[in-house]
Amino acid sequence: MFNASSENPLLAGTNTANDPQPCILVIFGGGGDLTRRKLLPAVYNQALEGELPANFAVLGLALEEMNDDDYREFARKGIEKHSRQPLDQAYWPDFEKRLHYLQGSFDDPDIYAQLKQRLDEIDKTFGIPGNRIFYLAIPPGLIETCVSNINHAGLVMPVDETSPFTRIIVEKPIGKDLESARDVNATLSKNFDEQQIYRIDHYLGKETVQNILAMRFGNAIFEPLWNSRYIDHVQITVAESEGVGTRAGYYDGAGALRDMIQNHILQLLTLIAMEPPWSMDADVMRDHRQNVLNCLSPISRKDFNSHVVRAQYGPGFQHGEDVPGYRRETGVSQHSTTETYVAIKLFIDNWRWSSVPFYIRTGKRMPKRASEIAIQFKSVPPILFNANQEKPLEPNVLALSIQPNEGLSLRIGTKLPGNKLRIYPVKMDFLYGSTFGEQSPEAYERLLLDVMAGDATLFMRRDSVESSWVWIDNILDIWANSSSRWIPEYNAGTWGPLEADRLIETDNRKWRLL
Amino acid sequence: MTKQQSGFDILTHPSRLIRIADIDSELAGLWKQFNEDISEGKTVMRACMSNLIIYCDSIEELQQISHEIPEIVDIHPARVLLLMGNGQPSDGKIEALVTMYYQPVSAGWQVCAERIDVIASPDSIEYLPSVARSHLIGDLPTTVWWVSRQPPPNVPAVFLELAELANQVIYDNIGWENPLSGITVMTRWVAARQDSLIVYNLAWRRLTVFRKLISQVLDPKVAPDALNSLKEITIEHGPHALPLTWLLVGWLAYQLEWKPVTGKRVSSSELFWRFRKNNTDIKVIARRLPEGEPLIYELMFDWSRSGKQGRACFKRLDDERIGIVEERSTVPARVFTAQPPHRSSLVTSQLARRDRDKFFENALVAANEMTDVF
Repeated sequence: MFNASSENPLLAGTNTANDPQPCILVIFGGGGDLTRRKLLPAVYNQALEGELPANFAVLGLALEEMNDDDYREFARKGIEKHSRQPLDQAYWPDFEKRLHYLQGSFDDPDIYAQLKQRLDEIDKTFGIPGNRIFYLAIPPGLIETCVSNINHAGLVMPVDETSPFTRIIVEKPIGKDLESARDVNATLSKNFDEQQIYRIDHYLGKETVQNILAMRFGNAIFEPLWNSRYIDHVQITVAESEGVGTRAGYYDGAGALRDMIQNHILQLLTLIAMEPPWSMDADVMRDHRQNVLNCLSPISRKDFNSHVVRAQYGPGFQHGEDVPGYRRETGVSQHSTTETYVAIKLFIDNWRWSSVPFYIRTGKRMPKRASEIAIQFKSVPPILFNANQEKPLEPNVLALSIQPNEGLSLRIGTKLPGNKLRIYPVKMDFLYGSTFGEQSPEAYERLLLDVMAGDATLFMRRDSVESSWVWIDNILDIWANSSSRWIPEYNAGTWGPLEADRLIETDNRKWRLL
Repeated sequence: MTKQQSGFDILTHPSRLIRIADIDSELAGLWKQFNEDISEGKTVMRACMSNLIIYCDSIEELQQISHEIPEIVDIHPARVLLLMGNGQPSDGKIEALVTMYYQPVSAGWQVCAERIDVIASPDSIEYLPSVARSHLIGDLPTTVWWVSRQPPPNVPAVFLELAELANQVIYDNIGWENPLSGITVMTRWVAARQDSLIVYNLAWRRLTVFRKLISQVLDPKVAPDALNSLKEITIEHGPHALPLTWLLVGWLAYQLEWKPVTGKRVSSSELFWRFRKNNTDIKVIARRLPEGEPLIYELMFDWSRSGKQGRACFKRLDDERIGIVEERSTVPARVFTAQPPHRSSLVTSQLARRDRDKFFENALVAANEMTDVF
């Protein structure tokens, strides 16, 4: 694999393993929504902050009829609207020179020959040594076409010390069940080495998600408590305030379980539950995350109704306005039974987490957009301050907030001032934004730089994707074979159905109010 | 309550002169007042990552630092001890001022700094370290930021004692009085400190963009032969930027294994060095421009191998950009963002560093050798 440091005397002695390398980012679906809202703003922000390699360019490939100038205008509009940092008029003319466009159909082999030629030209212009990153910002159905055409066009270099690197980024969803995920992975593996494949889940690029590792393994005080002896339960919530929006076409065939739990939430779970890794090496980290997935207890038919709740939002109020129910959304079947909310109680069958329930929930049209992981510790013994069991002390909670504000908080009991000895729960907050006073990069910014550096730590490996699907497929199968077509409903703008409350309240616990 | 002029959403109290012995009680009083009068019953959080001891010895420096502190503590909350030598205390030899910086956050207020100014008359500066020592917060790293234009070892009564309190010393030799001797004395002091103390020159951080661009643009994979066949480097810098140039050349010399052979002052605005590697000479010319900021304005690399010439000209195009000049370069022309960082942001970035920078120290070693052949 080409690495700029290997022969560069100015970098001798530096650890450049994590430095972004010169390359061209080729975006399949370069005219699409993801590119406009996330990818081009991410590249722009990193360029503005001087984080990109000096030898770097972008080429968008898509069906839309555009030339380079049109594409630069497309990029400009996207950046003006969605960039973390405002567009710098003085810098823009220099930045836009790095943006290029090629119009064509992904199933047209000729376009790949043209692509190869354009890339060679851009290499010469920008002094790029042949390194390529292919970003597939395309519907899943096009992955096979693109990947095999890239390979047949001779655009995939071998993985060795002397060749330029070729890397491919694949967006979720990787399949819609285990079988289709295996098909996608087989297609990728036929054309790329696993080392070249980066399955992206942008949740893993968020600052707080990475801070889970820093907090757990960079502090001595948490890890000794991080087990079934001290932790009562864990709650993971990913709440969206939006409805299905313009994604009905995809979402109605997928649902919340596939859209959120199979990837984002299970990945968060692995970071919370993993054993201490012995190195930050990508494969070591991913092995440890994989071990968590291997230990996920399958939910049996017998336990199913007490462990899994699905629901769909009905009409309700949000932000002071009426909003329609899911089945009234544009593009959704009036008879749809697709779940927009899922709550699950799950267990991890290993020594550390034995008998500790993990309650996970996700839903659309919740009262607010909020993602959080909360670790609730066991209560102190019912003596001294906690002797009054009619009014027990609030247990300690360590809450990691992922969005919209990234940070963590710890709830502790403290004495109220005064002559009486009264204990009161106090929340100590640590917010990235206000404590450090500087903006964290967007998840896509961090992850794109990681791909340029060849660091796959925050990306999903094939086995991890397939193990997730094994666990998810079990739930999908039970739903598919259920005799009932009924799906509970919750009012838009509420925290989910009563059934979900019952799921946790049966255990004498409560969902956290976010 | 006054709002700072820096544009940051950070507020502070007007401070009043107090005796050194009253610093703690004044601080306690400020906290009490904050909780009772300002916070309006909302939660008050205190964030603190470091003790930051700043030493300066002129009123101009103190005023500039006062503008920079909100920018620093916004990102790196700290207890700030601003020590001023050569001051004119209104009463006696030494006196103090105490204030707090705070900002609104979603749930209430966050105090991001307690600032203690200690002003000593010229004959009382030896008291300053003891005042600092008794007002540091335990369990937090301590950084000394040396702002004075006097090289730190030239003020031993203050500097050496402060360095003993610190995990890190930050200095900035741009604008030093007599930079040549300053570089020499400081380089030797740094070289002698082989313990865990982190010593850092802000001038080195100012070179970050150039070091990155040079490394990448002249990388052997994209510009074969450039680094191994360099013949001449010409550097044009603004007034007061000689330390910057010196460090840059020191870095190149160390990394490329050049040995300085000779060095001379060609004129009042031009220095020349000759280096040697494998029986090949490399010439370096450093020219000071008559006016401008303390920045490197132009860097020209010339190389040749087997009769084939190569050239790369990096030029500061304006306040925000550095470009590779197409007509004077054989490598592809490009433009990069390179806004000269504010001193406060350099300090903030360095405060978060917890390890020694071997590249900087190596560059210092080479810079010292360049001094020896002069």
